[in-house]
Amino acid sequence: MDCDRFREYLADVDRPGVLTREICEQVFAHAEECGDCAEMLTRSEALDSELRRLAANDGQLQAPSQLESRLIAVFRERRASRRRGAAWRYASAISIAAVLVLAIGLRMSRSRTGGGALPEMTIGKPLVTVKPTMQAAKGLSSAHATRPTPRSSARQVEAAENSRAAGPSSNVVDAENENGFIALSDVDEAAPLDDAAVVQVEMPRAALASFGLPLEAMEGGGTVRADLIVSADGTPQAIRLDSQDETGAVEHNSEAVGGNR
Amino acid sequence: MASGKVNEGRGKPSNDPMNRGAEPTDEDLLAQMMAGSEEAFVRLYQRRQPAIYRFALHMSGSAAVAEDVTQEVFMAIIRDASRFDPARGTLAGFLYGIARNHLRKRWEQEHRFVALDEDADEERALVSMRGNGFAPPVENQGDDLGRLRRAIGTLPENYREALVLCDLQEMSYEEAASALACPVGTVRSRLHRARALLLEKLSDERRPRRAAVGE
Repeated sequence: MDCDRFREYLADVDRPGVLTREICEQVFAHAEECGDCAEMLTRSEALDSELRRLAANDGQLQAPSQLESRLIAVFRERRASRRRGAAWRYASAISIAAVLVLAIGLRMSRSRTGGGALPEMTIGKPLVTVKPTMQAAKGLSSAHATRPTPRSSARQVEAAENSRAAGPSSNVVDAENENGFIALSDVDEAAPLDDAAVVQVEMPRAALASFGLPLEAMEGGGTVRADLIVSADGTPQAIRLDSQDETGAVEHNSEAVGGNR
Repeated sequence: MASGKVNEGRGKPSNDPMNRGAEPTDEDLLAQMMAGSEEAFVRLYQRRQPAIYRFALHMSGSAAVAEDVTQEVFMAIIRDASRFDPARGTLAGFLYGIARNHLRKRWEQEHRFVALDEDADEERALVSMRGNGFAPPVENQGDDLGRLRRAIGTLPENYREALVLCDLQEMSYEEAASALACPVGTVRSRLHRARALLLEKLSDERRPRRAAVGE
């Protein structure tokens, strides 16, 4: 071993696990042969000794105990803050989910009951109040027997419900009964007709589209008068356009309500 | 070098047969701490705090700075322990890394302002003597340990880190390399250089004294 190699190994000679036993023996053997390297080894061992003393002297040093208390307090505060944050996020998520469910439910409900808001229209006084049930409308004889309402109105409701019973996919024109009422195609078949009413309305022609009526019904501008059978929950069940609307005559309605107007 | 090595850098349980299998690793404690366990935090703190504090003390030469740095290290893991990535090293290395960053910030703050009066030259000389770091501690500077501390305090920062970790904290090269985020060979060469410089400084200190005694 030469002096350069000796200096390279010197710092590690007393460090466990770094040099092999053979190399350590070579280092000490070189120090016995070389005076300068021997002095260097002595000084290095003295430094090791002093460093060990310093390490032992400082070995028990540690941060003041107040620091641990301060950090524990911070830890508790942060943990509480995180828990509050987590609870807040949980509550927020629940609230958002509830609002979403409500909104979706409302939208589905509107979709089932005619697609949302009714078209802008002027509603006249109810022409007549009818009290047919769905079962009565389907069973003609019992329906006639139980209806306390004027016969003409009951017939209109019955016709409207019969046409509606053909199914929501049925053609609008096919659903028109002999009194001119057209069942609205997207009404709920199971909707109760207790306390249903026939009301006369006046609305823009363009608004007829929202009832699913044929395009020709919407030709021309202005407004149109129509009779609506409206169930107790406000859902239009059937519509009849006033055939004399353009001439200003209202005989159709007069006939329909049996002189109520 | 010294016998009775302390596994400062390891996140493994102690090798003490009495404790083998009973002690959770640093990473276990950290995970429990992140789940809200105060006990895990306290155990981790008590396990790692002394070495971090002594490292900061030897690097800064100031008990107040060492306390502040130790506080910052543990505040960092309280605030955001998820920053620790086990794939990149041990938790001990991560903690030493935070301590080193804070020591550097401190050192930069201390030297941001330069004196403008006639003492400026003296200040610059003092900074030069200190190397890249704080002044050595002033207490007990008259005895051998005081001289040794002062000599260590004048080493350049990189050399001092290697010496403090390997010779005072008794870490292996691998552990020191993990703490310093550098290769083992770099730690080894820095340590050799640090020891050579230290021997030189201590010899320089002794020589005038011997000369004075001889006169």
